[in-house]
Amino acid sequence: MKCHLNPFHQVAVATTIFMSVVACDRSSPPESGQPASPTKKLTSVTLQLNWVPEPEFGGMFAAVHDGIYADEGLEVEIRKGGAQVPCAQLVASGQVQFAVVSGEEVLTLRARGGAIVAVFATFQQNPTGFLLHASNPIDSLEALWTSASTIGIDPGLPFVQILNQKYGGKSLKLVPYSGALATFMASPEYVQQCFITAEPVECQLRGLATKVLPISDVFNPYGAVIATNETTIRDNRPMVEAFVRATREGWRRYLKSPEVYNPTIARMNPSMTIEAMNLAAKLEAPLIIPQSEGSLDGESSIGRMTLERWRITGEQLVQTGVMTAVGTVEDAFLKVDSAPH
Amino acid sequence: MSASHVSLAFRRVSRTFPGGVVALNDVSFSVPAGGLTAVIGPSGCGKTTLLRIAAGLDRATSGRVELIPKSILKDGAVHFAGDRKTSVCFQDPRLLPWRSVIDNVALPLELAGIARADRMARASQVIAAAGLSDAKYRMPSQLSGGMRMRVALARALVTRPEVLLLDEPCSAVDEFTRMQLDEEIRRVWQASGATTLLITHSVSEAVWLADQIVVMGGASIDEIYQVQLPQGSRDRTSAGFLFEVETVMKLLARAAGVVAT
Amino acid sequence: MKIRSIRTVIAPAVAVVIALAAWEVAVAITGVRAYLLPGPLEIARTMWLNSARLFDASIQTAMAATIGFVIATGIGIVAGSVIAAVPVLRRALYPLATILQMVPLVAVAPLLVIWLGFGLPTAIAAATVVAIFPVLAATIDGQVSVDPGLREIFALHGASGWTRWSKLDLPASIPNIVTGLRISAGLAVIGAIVGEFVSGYGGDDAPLGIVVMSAMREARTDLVFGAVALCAVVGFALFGLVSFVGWVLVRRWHSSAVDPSGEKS
Repeated sequence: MKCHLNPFHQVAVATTIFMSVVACDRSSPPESGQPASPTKKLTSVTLQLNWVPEPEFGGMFAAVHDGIYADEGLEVEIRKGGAQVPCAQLVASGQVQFAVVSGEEVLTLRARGGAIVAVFATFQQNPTGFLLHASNPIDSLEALWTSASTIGIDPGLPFVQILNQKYGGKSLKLVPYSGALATFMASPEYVQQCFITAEPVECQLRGLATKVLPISDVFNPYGAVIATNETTIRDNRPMVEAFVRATREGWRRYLKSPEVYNPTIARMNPSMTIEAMNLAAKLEAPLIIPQSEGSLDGESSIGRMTLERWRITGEQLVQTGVMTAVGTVEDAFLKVDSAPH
Repeated sequence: MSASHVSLAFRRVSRTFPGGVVALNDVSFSVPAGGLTAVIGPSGCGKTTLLRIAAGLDRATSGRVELIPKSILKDGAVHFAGDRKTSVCFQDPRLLPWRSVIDNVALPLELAGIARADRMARASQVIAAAGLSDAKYRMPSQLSGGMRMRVALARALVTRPEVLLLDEPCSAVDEFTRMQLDEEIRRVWQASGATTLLITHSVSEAVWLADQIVVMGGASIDEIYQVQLPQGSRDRTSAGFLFEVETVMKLLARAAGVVAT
Repeated sequence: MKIRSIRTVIAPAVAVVIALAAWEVAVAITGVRAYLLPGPLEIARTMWLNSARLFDASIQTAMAATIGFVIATGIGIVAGSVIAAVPVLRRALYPLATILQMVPLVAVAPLLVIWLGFGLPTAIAAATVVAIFPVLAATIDGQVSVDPGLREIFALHGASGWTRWSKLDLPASIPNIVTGLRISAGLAVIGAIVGEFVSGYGGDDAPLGIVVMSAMREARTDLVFGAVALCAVVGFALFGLVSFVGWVLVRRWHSSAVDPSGEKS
């Protein structure tokens, strides 16, 4: 497998959006004495999102918007995702260089022979949770899992097994997560999975009082990571590191002033208002910024990952039966220093 | 069964199709009670239209068809009595392919609301008379073309009609089968005593079966010929038979405008 | 239709065996990763290890597909007969039915959830929705093309509309209806699975649609293939059953099964 593959056209759901980040005419010769000039030849890479453009991908859009990727010599195409896009498989097989996936997907696919490697963890805290109407008397994961609620949830999510092992969950009715709010809004008893910065914001803006039960208490993998594949790292590690650096800087800028970048995201996702995006950005910041960091100025460690976190996730997945052995968790992720080489 | 007391009379029957094609123009003749009249003529001369009007499947533009003593059709209007005065047998057998022979033969009785045991008994009788008992429970697809026509004839007879309308029943079978079918038609006619109208394009068939032959040319009658041979002793190879055939052939040729006589 | 002919059974069976063998060999030679394309032996092993779960799932899906298929058959034949009998309705509704057929089920399925709720009802409804059209169209086609000669036989005997329908139009259109039903049978299974994608209950007795989604999420491609194979088995079983019943119904027509009159008029 090569580094630069043709765009993967087979996934009809994934609408391809190409964002040109070329700052100036690429055909003009490089000016002598200015090696860092943006006129140098850019490397084209594709980033496959696992959902429609939303603030949960804000840093990457900021990096495109401000030309940070271009400064690192990269021309990044961001591709929309959706419920049925198999992002982990796409990146593991080299159809795209980068994809946003969940931490557990990285470990699960590696256990099945996929050469997928996480390079950047957007969320330090798992942003997944359960969305309930504020009027719902259920106030804990235990209460939820011992109730007879109907829960809209993607089939096969590992934390369901974890919760089952912990609380039973025999009376629950699990139904497929629709990705929409229609059923939830219509039925006060209904519970569905949510991305803490997405559905609750949407409900708030529609005047619906909700509450969220985060699952990070029982299952706290890196909920959204950017992954690449082993071949890409082996063949072009500097490019991967440049991508991570630019993404980190993009996030730093995005979280500082999301309102600058949200209009760009909104253009690619007209169904979410800028108002909702600004709100979501505010909500997600504490989940993204490492707790050790007080401010967004200066050196940032956004996106960092620790072996300990990956190991715990691996052990939990073994516990649920999704995997049979933890394996070499060290190889599942790549640490990238902030400073360029 | 005793001979029919009903004669079938066409009184100045005309039929013009939408678009102006004249199928029948002022046709008058009658089939005497218990007689067999054959109508011959070139293709498209309106023979079949004549039969369809008599059967009530088409309407005369003017004129009437009468069953004497009882009129069933007045000025083209259909008056079907509950009793089946007439039966039709078409040039194709028109059997229901999903029904056995006996169920096909019993169909008219079934549609008339006759109880199953009763209609099966009556159908069996007709089938036996036609020599089809061995094929009683066979399906139409398992029968030869000639046998299917005999089933169709049996179906026409099961309602014991006073008037039998036969529309070229032998047109789709080979010469040998045709002779056998003609024997069957004669048997049926004589056994039922029905007043019979036979549409045919075969002169020899008409001469062999009929006592009266209506020769049509264009949309009107050219000649009404009384066959000069006694019923019951007609021999297709006799000189008298061949002479009759030749005579009718000449009439037909004149009607068709092929030969001047 | 000679479904008992040995050749018609052996030839496809051999083709399937050869295809599976080629697949296994190709997977072994190219060394393609199992999460992308597992070999048939791997899939068979997974199916064996998960046989209880897959069996329950197949029963669930087969039930939804069969019930949907039966409802579609009933609605299709009744509505098709009415539409065929009334020319005005035929002109008015036939284009509408054709347009409805073009509506993608995937787009309608979420609405079915809102109307009917989760679980079996939506899967049944989805199966019904996709299975109706072929039966409806076949019924209409079969009944408008009944031999006019046979119609005349019934007209001569003063048969009522109902009598003509029950004794002529319906039996005469059975070969058409059976053809339509064979298409509907396969579609009903697809419909049921699409319905399950949006409404199926998870848990121990999850239907095939949920097993597929769940295995996909867990990157268990072998299990995805196993579940998909069982979807095909359920579809084939329903198709086979319909074909057999159809064959029993029309076998005595023989050649006339194609042309219900059996004769050219």
